[in-house]
Amino acid sequence: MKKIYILIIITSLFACSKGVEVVKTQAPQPKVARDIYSVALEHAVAFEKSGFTDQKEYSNAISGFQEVILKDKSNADAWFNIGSLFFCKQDMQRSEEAIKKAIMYRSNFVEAYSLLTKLYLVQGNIQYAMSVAEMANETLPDSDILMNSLAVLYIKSGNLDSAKKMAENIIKKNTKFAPAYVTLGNIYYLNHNYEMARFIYQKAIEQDYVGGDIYTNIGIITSKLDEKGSSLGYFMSAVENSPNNPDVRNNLGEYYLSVGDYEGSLKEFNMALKFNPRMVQALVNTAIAYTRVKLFDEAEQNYKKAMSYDPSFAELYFNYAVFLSDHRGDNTQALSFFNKFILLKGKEISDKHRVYRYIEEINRAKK
Amino acid sequence: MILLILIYTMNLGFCAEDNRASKVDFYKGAKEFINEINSIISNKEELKKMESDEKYEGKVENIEILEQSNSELSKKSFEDYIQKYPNSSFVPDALYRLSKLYYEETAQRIIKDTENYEKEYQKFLRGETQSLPPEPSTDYSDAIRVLNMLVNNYPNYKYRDESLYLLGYTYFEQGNIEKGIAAYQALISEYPKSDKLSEVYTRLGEHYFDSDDLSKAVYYYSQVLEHPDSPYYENVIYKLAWTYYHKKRIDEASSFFVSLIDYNDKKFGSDYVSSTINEAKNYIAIGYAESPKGIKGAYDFFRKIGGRTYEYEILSKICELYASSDRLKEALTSIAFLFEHYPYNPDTPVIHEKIINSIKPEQNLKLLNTERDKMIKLLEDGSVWREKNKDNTKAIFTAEQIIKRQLIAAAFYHQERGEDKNDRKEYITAAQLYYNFLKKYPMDGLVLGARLNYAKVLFNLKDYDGAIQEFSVVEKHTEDEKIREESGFSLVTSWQNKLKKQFPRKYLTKEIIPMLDENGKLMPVGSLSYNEGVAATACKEYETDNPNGKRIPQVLYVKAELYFRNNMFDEARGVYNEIIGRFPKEKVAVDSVRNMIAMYTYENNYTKIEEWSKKLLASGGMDKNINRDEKEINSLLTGSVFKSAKAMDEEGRFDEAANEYVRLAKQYPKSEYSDAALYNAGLIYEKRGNSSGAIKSYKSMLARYPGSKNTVSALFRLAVNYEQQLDFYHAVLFYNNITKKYWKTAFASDANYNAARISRAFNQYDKAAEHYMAYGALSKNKKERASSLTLSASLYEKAGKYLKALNAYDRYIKENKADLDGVIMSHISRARIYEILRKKNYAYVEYNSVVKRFNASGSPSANAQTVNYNAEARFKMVSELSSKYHSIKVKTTSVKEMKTAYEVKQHLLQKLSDQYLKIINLGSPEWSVASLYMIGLDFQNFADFLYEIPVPKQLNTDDLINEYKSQIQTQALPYEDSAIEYYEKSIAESARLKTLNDWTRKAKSRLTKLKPEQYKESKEEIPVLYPSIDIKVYGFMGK
Repeated sequence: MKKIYILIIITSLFACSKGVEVVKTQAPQPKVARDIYSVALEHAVAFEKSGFTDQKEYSNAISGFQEVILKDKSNADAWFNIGSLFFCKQDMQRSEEAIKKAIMYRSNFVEAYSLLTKLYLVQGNIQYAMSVAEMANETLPDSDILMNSLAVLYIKSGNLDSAKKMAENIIKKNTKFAPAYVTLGNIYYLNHNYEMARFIYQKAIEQDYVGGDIYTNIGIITSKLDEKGSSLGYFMSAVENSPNNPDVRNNLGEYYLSVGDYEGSLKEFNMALKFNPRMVQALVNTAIAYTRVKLFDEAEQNYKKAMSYDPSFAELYFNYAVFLSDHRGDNTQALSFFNKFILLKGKEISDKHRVYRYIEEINRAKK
Repeated sequence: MILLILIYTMNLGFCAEDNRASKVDFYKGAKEFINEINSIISNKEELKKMESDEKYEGKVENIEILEQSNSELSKKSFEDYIQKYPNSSFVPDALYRLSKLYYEETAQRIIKDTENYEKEYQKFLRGETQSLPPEPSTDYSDAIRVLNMLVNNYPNYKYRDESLYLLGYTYFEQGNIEKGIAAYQALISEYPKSDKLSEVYTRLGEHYFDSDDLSKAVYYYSQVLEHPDSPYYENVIYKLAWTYYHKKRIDEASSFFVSLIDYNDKKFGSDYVSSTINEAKNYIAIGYAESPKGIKGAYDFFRKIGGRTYEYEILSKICELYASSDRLKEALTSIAFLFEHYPYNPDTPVIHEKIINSIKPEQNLKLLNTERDKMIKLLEDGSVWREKNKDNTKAIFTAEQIIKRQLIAAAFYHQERGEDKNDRKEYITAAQLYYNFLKKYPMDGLVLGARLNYAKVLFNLKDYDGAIQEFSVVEKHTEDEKIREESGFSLVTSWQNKLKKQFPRKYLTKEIIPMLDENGKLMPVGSLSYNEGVAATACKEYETDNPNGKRIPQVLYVKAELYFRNNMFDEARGVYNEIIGRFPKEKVAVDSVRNMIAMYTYENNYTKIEEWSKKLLASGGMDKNINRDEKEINSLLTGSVFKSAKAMDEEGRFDEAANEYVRLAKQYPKSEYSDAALYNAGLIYEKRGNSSGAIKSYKSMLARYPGSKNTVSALFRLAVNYEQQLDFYHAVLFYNNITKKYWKTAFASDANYNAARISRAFNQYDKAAEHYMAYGALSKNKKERASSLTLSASLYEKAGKYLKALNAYDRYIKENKADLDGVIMSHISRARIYEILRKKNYAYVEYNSVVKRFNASGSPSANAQTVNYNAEARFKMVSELSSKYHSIKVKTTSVKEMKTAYEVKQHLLQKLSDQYLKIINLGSPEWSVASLYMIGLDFQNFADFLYEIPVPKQLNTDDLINEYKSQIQTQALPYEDSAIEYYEKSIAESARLKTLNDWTRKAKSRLTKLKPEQYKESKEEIPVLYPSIDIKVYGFMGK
């Protein structure tokens, strides 16, 4: 069933692209249309700068681009920007429609393909995302952007080898394409090769990569390799560069949580959840922070929410188990979740992991 | 005939031509003998007649004919006759005749032999024969034999004087001089009035002259003076003069030379001029010039003999002789003598000029100028000399010519000196002299030449206006093609220089540069200024006036430059093309090419340059200097391709630029730019993110141009690109190559840094640390050196190389004393390492250093980390005391010991608390929490201490024991409460300072045991740190 749906998407994209040639033969755009476009773009950028909070700028941007489209329905850029704005507002359905229109009117619109892929990924539909990415790569081979999007999807699907190969290919082909370094760095990170990951991330920065994601990742590595304290600077830089990135917010929050600044951590977790309400990591961390400040009900709500969004997230079960055992006295459920954690983690954890000690303690207490 | 001349020459030995007269006479004498003999031979019947003084007037040619037919017959007849009739009265006559026949026969043979000798000798000279012919022999023995018979046997023979004469002569010829002299002496004594005497005296005089017996020579020559009509008289005077001349008796010699002149004057009149007279005058002059008497001696001599009309001539000759033999001092003295005694002589200026000309200016410039001044003063208008010679047109004319020549010579001399030494003063002097000449003699024939030189001098004085004016006049009026060409060309160069002077910024550039704006960009097409226009006209006129002018190419080049500098590129190109087309072998053709390329460069028309240059090369022009020129053109050509590529690069046409660079290297592999082209192509590939292309380019450059100056930079870029390609193996390989082989270069430092980064990425901390150390050592930046030390140290620590880490930190401390934060960090790091190495004492020293440095700074650092280190150091130092405190326990039941231990422990508790509280005041969150925890721990320890005191032996009942324990508990409880209080404070402070650390956890753990109802053992969550892994959003479109 899924396959059929994917085919429909792909077919519709190709069908759209046929119309492009017809549109191209049309007369040049009237100057007035470009002016409206510029104004709309200014509003969109202002909305972005506000951390996607300024509703007025958002509305002005949307209406501006719509006006452009009314005058020229084939303006792929305008369609793309509308799609991006909807995406920022997490209006995924309308975003998808707009992005597809952009692709329809410009068959080689790689950024649009990439955004569409991301849209599916955010929606948790990695299969759709993968299908679009693969199709786009086939249609537009050698596109660094599309190749990198596919590499990220490989990572997300746990295929780190393919992801690595893809990222390396991009870099060998174009050493200036910084996002590929970020992708490759991520792969090294996930392979626990932290020094190499940091080295590769550094290369992205050398290629003028702008994005908080890279700093937050270096922050994590620094925290793991060096001192916890020295990672704070990276986390702060990450927020400075990408204030709207939920991962970045989550990691800064985690830092605060680890040093006992629960207030600060909750603020950051909330920001992360604002940009991605379905972010399981942030939900779990929020729950831990609430627990520390003894807001147990709020903590439990977050655990439950997280579980509903991603029931395969291992750390959720561990932390929820700790919570149930220590604060709800529900050792039975706790034991169950600890075991679930072990199951999900598999060989990732050793025999000396504290989960086994906790299980033993509970079992001992039961006796 | 030849023989006679030979005889004459050999016997008289005169070389001087003027002895011909005497030679002719002597020849005549010899001829007479032959004639006489021939007359006998020709007709025997006439022998009788020969007794009379009949003279034969026939010709030599007839003698030869007769000789051929009758000689042998006659000799035989005479010999037969003498033999047959020895007592005949005709025997003396027969002997006489026979002697002459023998003489003649020998003489004829000598003539023939001599002629044959001559012929053979010529053959030898022509190389037709290999050896020199034998010289003809002179053998008069038959004649001598017969003459001796006659002289000895017939002393009264009527022709005895003739016989003696012939005998003497043949002896001399035969080389038997003594017998010859005896024969002549007999003639002199027996015939004192013989007409042969003057000749005999002359011959004897000559003999002694040749034998260097000058006294005897003078004696015999003087005997001839008694015979003033003798044909030998004049010759003898001459010989006497010569003899005295040889004896350096110049007065006597001069008397005879004067006699010789007077003799000729008397004989031929005073107007008669002969080489003998001239020679006599010359020898008088030479004689006095060579004697110490000099000109004054000559003057006195003439006074003594009453003077002569030609005495001035001789005296002036003396002056000339001095001048011509570099005896300048004597020359000047002599000319002064002449001026003194003959002040108005019309010829004196001529002599003076000769002397002036003999003065070498480079040695006696001052003297030369003085003499010139004297001369000009002597000859100038209104001078006494002029007045005295005013009617002597020739003298006046000569004087004018001399002045002109001297002016010109002086000017030319200064001009030459100016040119040799580039001496402005000399040029100025030359200019003044030329100016004076031109002013005084404006119509003179030398004017054009003088103006040409004057123009050259003005040119050299950088008076280009003046030079232009003079060159123009010369060019216009001269009829000499060469001068016209030279002045025309000089006119062009003068204009060229005038423009340089007038527009120095425009024209005084190393290369020809067009008009550029302030940004260095080409300005619009301009036009020629007035002067530039005139200069262009001068160029054109040169071409017109000198259609075959050898310097047309240069002139055209100047004209083109005028257009070039005014951005009139089309006009300039036209002229340059003409130069290249018409004069491809000229140097300016190459320069024209360069300028063509330069213009195209300003227009950024590189394709045109390359195409055009290639075409030119293919035409095979510039053959003489083909190698150099080809190299130069190739250099220009490839340089233009290089520039073209560079321009494309600057314009952002990166791919085109890279392709152009690669093409340059491929198409012109030997070009001086090829290595740089490949290198630049590599850089562009890098810029475009194409590291594989860059690697290919750099590798190619390194392989093809191993000696390139870009070698190390190419190696470095190669390594960087391998790194970009994620080929870390090769990257490190090349970085290491640089660090080892090119460690002295600027790249070594960066190569170490990059190698360190890669090593670290591969967790090779030890290697990374080594590279960072090397990087720091090579770096000139103090900050970089310092940071490399701490980085290396931390990596050594990670690698477990603690000693190296300690050294690195130590170096940092020593090299960066001013950096308080860094030094404190290094001390604390060293202390931590010593803790790991379980060297507490060393650690203590480092902690102490931290505290000392921190305190000594006077103003505590604002750096939170440094504050932490200071607190940490103090905390660790207190820990020593804490350990001692914790170790105090009561193990005996001795009350005294108990009391002592109690008191000591309590004292220490108080002391520790005080010190920990001080640490809290240091402002370090982590160590504040830790100190609070430690105070709590110390209180708890005191409580434990009390509980652990053994029960005194005296308490031997359960009740007493229980009572005792109860009292102990009562004592311990306040300490336990204090412990709880400080643990709680530790947790509260941790929350307040937002610092959650191990001390917090420890405090919590303690509380769960001390107050389990309130503090339960809790499990630790796993907060989720998650890398940001997402598809990148590329923002809004149309930004």
